[in-house]
Amino acid sequence: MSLAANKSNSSRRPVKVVLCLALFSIILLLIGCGFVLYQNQEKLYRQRQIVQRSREVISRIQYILIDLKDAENWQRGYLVTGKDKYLVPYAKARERILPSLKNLQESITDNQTQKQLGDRLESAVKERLFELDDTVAERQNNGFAAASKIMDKRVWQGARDKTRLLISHLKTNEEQLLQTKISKLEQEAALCLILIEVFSFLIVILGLVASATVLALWSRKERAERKFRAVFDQTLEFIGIVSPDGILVDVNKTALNAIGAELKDVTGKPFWETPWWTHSPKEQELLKESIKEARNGSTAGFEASHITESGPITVDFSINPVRDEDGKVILLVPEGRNISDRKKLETVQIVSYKLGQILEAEDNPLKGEIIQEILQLACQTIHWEYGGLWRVDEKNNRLFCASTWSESSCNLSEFENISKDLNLQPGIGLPGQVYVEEKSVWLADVCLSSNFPRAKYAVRLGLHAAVAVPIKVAGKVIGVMEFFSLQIFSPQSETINLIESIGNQIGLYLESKIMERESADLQDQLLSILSNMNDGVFQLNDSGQVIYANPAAITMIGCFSDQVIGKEIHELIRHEQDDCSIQSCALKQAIISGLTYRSETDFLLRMDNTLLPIEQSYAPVLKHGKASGSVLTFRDISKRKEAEKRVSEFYSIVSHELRTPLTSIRGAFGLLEGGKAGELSPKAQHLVSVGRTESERLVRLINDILDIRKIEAGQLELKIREIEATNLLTEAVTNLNPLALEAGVKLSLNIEKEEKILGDKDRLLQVLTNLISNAIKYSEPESCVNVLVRRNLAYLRFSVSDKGPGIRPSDLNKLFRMFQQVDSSDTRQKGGTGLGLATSKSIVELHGGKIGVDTELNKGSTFWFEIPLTGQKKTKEENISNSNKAPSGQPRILIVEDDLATREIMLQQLSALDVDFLLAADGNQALDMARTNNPDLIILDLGLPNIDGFEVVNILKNERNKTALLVYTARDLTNDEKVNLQLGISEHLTKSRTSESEFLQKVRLLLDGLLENKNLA
Amino acid sequence: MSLNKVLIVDDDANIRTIAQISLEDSLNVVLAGSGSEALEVAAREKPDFILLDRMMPGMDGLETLSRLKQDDNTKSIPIIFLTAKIQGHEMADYNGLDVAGVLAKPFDPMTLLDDIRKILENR
Repeated sequence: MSLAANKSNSSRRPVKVVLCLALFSIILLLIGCGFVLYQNQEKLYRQRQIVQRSREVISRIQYILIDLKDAENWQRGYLVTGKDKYLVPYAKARERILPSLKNLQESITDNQTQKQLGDRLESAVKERLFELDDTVAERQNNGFAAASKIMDKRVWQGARDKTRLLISHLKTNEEQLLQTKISKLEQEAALCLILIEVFSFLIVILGLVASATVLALWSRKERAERKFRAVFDQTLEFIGIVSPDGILVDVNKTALNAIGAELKDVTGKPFWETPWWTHSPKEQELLKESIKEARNGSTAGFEASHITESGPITVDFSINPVRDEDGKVILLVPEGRNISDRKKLETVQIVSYKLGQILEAEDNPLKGEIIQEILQLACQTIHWEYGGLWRVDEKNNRLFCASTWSESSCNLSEFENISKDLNLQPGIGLPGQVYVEEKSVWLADVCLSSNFPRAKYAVRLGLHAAVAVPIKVAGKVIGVMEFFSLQIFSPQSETINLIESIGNQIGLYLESKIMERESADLQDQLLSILSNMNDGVFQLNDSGQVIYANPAAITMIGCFSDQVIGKEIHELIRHEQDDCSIQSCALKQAIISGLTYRSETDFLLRMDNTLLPIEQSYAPVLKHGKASGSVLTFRDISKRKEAEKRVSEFYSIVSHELRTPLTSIRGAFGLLEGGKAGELSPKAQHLVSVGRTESERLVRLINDILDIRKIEAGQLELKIREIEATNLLTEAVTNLNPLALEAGVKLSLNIEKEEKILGDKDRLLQVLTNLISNAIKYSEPESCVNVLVRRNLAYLRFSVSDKGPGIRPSDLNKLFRMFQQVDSSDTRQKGGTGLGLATSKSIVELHGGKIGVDTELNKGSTFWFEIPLTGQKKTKEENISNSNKAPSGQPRILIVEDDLATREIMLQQLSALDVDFLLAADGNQALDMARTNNPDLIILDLGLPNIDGFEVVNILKNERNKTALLVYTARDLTNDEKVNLQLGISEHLTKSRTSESEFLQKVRLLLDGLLENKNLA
Repeated sequence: MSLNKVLIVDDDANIRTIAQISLEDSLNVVLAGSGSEALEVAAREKPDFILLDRMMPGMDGLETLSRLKQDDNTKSIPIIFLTAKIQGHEMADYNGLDVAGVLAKPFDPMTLLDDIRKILENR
C-alpha cells in the first residue's frame, strides 16, 4: 500500500516539474511577445503622431493659404470699396497668418527641405503681407488709384504667385512626406497585427494547456477522493470526521448502516447527539470528554456500546486528532471497532473458567450451594434476575426444583419458594417441556404461556422472558436449568448459547465423574485380579524396565515391591545359557523389535540368588496400534520341572532295565541261531528265530515308546545339519534291502536332482525307514515299492508308493495316531509297533514339514513327507560376497533392514525357504542391490539410515521397478501409506502383529505367485 | 591291527556270558563285573580293547572310562561302550570323551566282532 503510494508520488513529481517549466516558459514567451507588441504599439503610436503632425502641417499650410487668400480678398474689397468694414476681417486674417506660419515652421523643423521651404515661405508671406499692408495704407492714404497702381505692378503679381508656389511646394512636399509616413505606418501596423495574432494564438494555447492541466488535476483529485471514499465507506470499522468543536462532518457507510441512518441526518450535529450515543447519557459525557482531549492533541477512547439494527454491540471506540503542518488540530477522526464477538467469547471463556472452578471444587455439581453459585454466575452474565435448577426424580417420574437463585434487590423469594414446593410431571410447565423435548425452550413472556403453572406469580412479580435448557448425561436429560427476566425479550441466540454451554459443561462434568468412577472400579477389579492371581506379572516400560510387579511376582522373587521397580528385566530373568547378548537373547530381541516371546526354560533370579524355573510369556502392549511398554507374565514351574525330571528318570531306568534282559535274550537267541551252541534241528532253528525277531520287536517298541514320550514332552531334540537327500535315501534303501529281498519286493529309487535339506539325519532316516518298511510289509511279493524324491517349490518331497491294499477313507484320520494300525491284528502280523507313523509325523513336523498319504483302495498307497529346502547355510557362507553371481534359478530375496539382530531373526525364519538372500542395511545399499541384482522379492523395513523406506520405494517406482515387495515394519501403516508403498505384487506386515509362521507364509505366497507368473510367461 | 585280547566289563553276568561266547572263538576274553574290577583287570591283563557297559552300580561306565584314561598303563587302550543308553540326549554324553565308539544293546552276537573291527579300523 505505502509502496504503491510512494511510486505514484515519485512518478507524479517530474510531471509537475515539466508542467511548471512549460507554464513558466509560456509565461516568459507571453511576456516577450507582450514586450515586442508594446514596443511596436509605441512605434505605431509615434508614427501616427508623425502622420498626424504631417496632416496638421498640411492643414496649417492650407490655413495659411486660406488666411492669405482671405486677407487678399478683404484687402481687395477694401481697395475696391475703401470701406473700413473690410479692414477688420483683413486685420484678423492677416494677424492669424504670422502665428500660423510660426507654428508651421515649428512643426516642420524635423525636415530640412521643408524647413528651408518654410523659411522661404515666411519671407515670401511677410513680403506679401507687407505688400498688402502697403496697398491698404496707400488706399487709406492715397485712394484707390494709388493702391491699384501698386497692384498693377508686376511685382505684386509675382509676390502673390511666389507665395502661392511656395505654399503649393510646401504642401506637395508635405503630402509626399505624409504618404511615406502613412505607408510606413501601415507596415508597422501590419507587423503589429501579426504580432497580435501570434500573441493571441499563444494565449489560446496557454489557455488550453492550462485548462487541460487543471482538468487532469481535478479529475485525479476526484478519483483519489472517490477511492478514499470507497475505502472510508467500506471499511468494517466505524470511521468519521468531526470538527474540533465536535460537529460531525462525515461518517462512513458502515457506521451509517449500523444504525440505518442517512448521512444528511447526522452531519452538522454535535457528535454526541447523533443516534450512536443518544441511548446512553453516560457515554455521551464520556464522548464529550474524549473530544476535548482529542482537541488538545491526544488520542482518547473508551469501550462503548451502540444499539444497532441487529442488536446491541460493543465497540472499541477512539478519537484521534489530525494536525496540519503547523501542528494545529484541524479535525478529529473518531474510529470504532466492533468487538462484540471477542467480548462474547471472553464472556463465555470467563463463565466457562469460573464454572470449571466451581465444578472442580466439589464432586457433585448438583449439590445445593454449588448449583446456586452456578445459577448466580449464569444470571449475572446474561443480566437476568432469576435462575433455578430442576432435577428429575425417575422413580416418581416427576421434576422437582432442587435449587434457586434470584437477584436480592428484586424480591423474588416468593417465586423461589413456590418453585421449590412444586412437583412437575414431564411435559408440564417450562421444565417439564424441556425435559420431554430434550432441548432448550425460550418464552418471550411467560405470563402469556398456557403451559406455565406459575404464571399467576410471574404476573404479580413482573417476570416475563424465560429460557430453560436441559442438562444431559450420556444423552439423557437429568436436569433442567431455567432463567427468568423482568423484561420481555424475544429469543437471543447468544443468551441461549451461553446457558446451553453451561448446561453442557455441567453434563460433561457429571459424565466424566461417572466415567472416572467406572474406570476406578475397573482398575480396582484389574488390581484385585492381578493381586489374586498365582502367576507373576511384570509391566515393563519401553526400555524393558519393570514399572509394576504384582504380589505373586514379588512373592516369587522374595522381596519387597520397591526392590523390583525400575530394575531391568534381565536383572530378574536368567536364561539357560549365560550368554545374553542381543544376538542370542530372544527376549532382548523381542523387547527391541516389539515381538512376542515365550519360553519354558528360563529362570527367575530370586533375592537369595537361587534360580526359580519359570514358564514365561512376553508381549508388547499396543496402544492405538503403537507399542507402549510390555507385559511379562510368568509361572513357577519348579514343581512341574521336578515331576518331569522324575518321569524322565523313570523312563530312562525302565528302558535300561528292560533292555538289559532283552540284550541277554536277544543275544542268547542270536548265538543259538548262529550255531554257537552246536547244530540245531530245523524246528529248533525256527523257534529260536521267532524268539530272536520278537525280542527285536520288543526293543523297537521300547524305543518307539521312549520317542513318543519325548515328543509329547517336547524333549525330542533334532540334531539339525545339512543333509544330501541322495545319501539319506541310499542309506535307507540299503538298510531295508534285506527286508525287501526277504519279502520278494522290488525297491526302486528315483531321485530327480541332488538337493540339500536341513535336518536330523537319524530321525529322517527313521521316518523314511518306517515308511519304506511299511510299504514292503503291505506289498505282495513280486510287486514294486517306488521311492521318489522331488523338489516342490521350497520343499523337498519324499514319497513312497506301494501297490498294496490301500487304506479305507474312514481309516485315514486315525492313520497317524498312536497305536492305530488300521487293522489291530496287523500289529502282530506285520511286526509293527503301531507307533511308527505317529512318531514319523512328529519328526516331520518338528522339521517344519508335513506328512500325508494319497491312497486308493486295492490299488496302493503313496506316503509322502515334505521337508523345507536348505537356504540359510548357503546364505551365511555365500550371501554378500557372491551376490553378483549369475542367476542360480533360485528366487532371490533382498532383505533391507538396518537392525542387525532383526535381520538375523529374519534370516533364521526364512532359512526354511530355498532362496538366495541379499542383505542391505540402508536405503542406498538397497537401491544399489535392487538395481544390479534384480531380486525377486524385496523385504523392506521403513526406518532406515540415509534414505528411508518410503523414499526407496518412490525411487524404484520412478525407475519402473516391478519387484514384489513385502513391507515389514514396526508400526501399523495407514491406508494411504500402503497405497504409496507398492512396486510389483506388494504386501504389508507389522512386525509386532505377525507371527513367525505368518511371516513365512506371506513370503512363500509372494514367491509362489512369482513362480507362477514366471511359468505362465 | 591285530586283536588278541578283549576285556568285557558289565555288571550283568548274562550279558558278559553272551558277549564272551560271541567273541571267544576269535579272541582271548577277560571279564570284569564292575568298574573297579575293570580297572584292576585292565591294568593286569592289558587287553587290546575294552567293551564297557555304561550303567553299572558303584563306579559307572563314564567314571571307569576316565579312570582308565588317567592311568598311564591303560590310557592307550581303545574303549568301546556297549550300552543301552543310546537315546538322543544320552548319545550327547559321549561327545568329547576319549572313546573309540558306541555299540547299542541289544546287540547281534553274530556280528559283534565285525562291528568292533569296523569301529577300531575307522578310528
